[in-house]
Amino acid sequence: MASSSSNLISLKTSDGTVFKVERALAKTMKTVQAIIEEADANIYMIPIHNVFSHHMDMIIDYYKLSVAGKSKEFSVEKLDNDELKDFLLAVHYLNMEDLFEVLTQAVADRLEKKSVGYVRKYFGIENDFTPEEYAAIRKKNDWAFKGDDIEPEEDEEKQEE
Amino acid sequence: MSLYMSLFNKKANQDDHIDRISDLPSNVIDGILEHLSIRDVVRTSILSTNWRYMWTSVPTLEFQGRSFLPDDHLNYPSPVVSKIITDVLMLHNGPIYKFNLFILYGCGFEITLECLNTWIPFLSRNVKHLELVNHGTYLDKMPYIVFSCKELTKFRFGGFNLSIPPNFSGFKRLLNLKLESVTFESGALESLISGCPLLEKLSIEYCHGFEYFHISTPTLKVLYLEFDENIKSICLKKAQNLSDLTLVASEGWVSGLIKSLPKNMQRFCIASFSDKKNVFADIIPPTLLKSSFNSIKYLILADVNLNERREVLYIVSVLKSAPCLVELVIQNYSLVDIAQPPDHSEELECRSCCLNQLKTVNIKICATSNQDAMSLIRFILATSTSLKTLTFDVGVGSQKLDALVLLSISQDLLLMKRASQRAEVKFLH
Repeated sequence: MASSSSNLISLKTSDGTVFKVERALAKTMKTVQAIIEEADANIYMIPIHNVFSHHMDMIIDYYKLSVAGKSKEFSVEKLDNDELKDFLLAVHYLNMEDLFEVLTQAVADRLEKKSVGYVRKYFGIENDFTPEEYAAIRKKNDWAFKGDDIEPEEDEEKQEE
Repeated sequence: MSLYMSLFNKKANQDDHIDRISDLPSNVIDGILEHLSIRDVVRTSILSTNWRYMWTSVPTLEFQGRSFLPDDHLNYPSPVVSKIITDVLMLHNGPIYKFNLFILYGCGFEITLECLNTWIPFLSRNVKHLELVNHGTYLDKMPYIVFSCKELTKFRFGGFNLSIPPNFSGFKRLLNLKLESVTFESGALESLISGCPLLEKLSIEYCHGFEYFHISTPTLKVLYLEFDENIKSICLKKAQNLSDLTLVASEGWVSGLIKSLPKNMQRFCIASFSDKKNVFADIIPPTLLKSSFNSIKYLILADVNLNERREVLYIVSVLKSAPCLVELVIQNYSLVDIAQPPDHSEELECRSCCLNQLKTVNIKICATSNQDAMSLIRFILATSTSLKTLTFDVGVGSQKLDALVLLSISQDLLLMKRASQRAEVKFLH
């Protein structure tokens, strides 16, 4: 059942902002689509949890670029890791396939070919292996770890513990 | 919004020990890992105890030659490399939807049938997208176990002899099939294709062992077919939904090779790798042109021999059969030697033809064919009422025309009668 202004759907973000978006954009959000379809009556406002207004801004940017055939121009370079992660979670919640691919690729690009130490530092992951465990994993898959992209100092540090 | 963002920034810079990634849902982590090389994927196992087995659920695995090995990869003989792949598959936990194994010629990684028989069972239940390209070792058969991958929607393979197992029940979900460097045992190609009732896209490159190509798959939309001299006939009329057809002759062809074509083609491309001086006029009989080209919008004629009058006339008859044509490309990158002087004494008859949808024309040839191309260009300009751009490029090859000839071509182009007032003619050299 379509509402009278059937071309626009109202979405309310977690920080209380209401966005009126085109039906076509709402269709790319499978979560929103499911809510619309399940509703018996007209829905006037769909709340989208975990999505903030700055996320919606970027989503709308991406949508506009895609419609113009310029989706490759969309960039998340200016986002730091926390921001990218939050955006990825928002897009994941909304279940938006294309944008999800773009964002997971962006995260992968930040991880690609980096040393293990770099990745840990960049994402704040703490190494909680014992030195024996650590050495065992390295040895078992030496094809993956061998090479100048593992920092030797790190290994020595661990062995001394 | 900017206040919010700057709060985020502060947090990110100050505290390095807040783990920003490990608590993502596992299918998000899988989504990220899918974009990484297998080497980077396995390396995540050492990040922390949390991460030790996170990679094992990534639904995509790709192995390219020896590229996933460290720089001293020559210290890894082929059986060791094969064992690495086996170990990865054994540690893997969960469905594998996409598996690619590329072994290019000369990369030094040789696999055995035994390897494939070990690996494929890990995939067969779930794999949707499978690419097995083996140009390393000659393997005399595709292992039959591949035919039990029932969920396949996209399948590419190359470098095998293909025979179909007697109990082959088909790839019922397959949409996209690409075969390269495959030698077919007798009847294998037909059995394979008829076992794919939903097939939409088929590509056959550098394959041997088939003489007849008769397709009746009603779902097929796109076909790329490279054929050799041994093929005797091509019948495509039963592929009723085929709208995009590319035919490439790797050698010569028999006259009248194409027996039937689908009715509603939109895009047609024909090309030839052959050195032989076949003309395209031989390949599609004129009666077939009239019934099959009336929906064509995009036409690419590559490796045409414009020196032959017969070929130019043929191209004109093709254009006359394609009233819906929107874009035309004619190209020939090889040098054509002029055995006889080109005969353009008769102008091409234009009155009965009106190409009123044609908007873009691109003609790219080597310098020596320019005069024959000119009569064709004159024909096109006189019959295309909606033409926007015609680009004529004689820059192919090292032979350059001298300045006087270029000038006279430019002048001739300017003087040609145009059916479309807006038409822009670009001359590149």
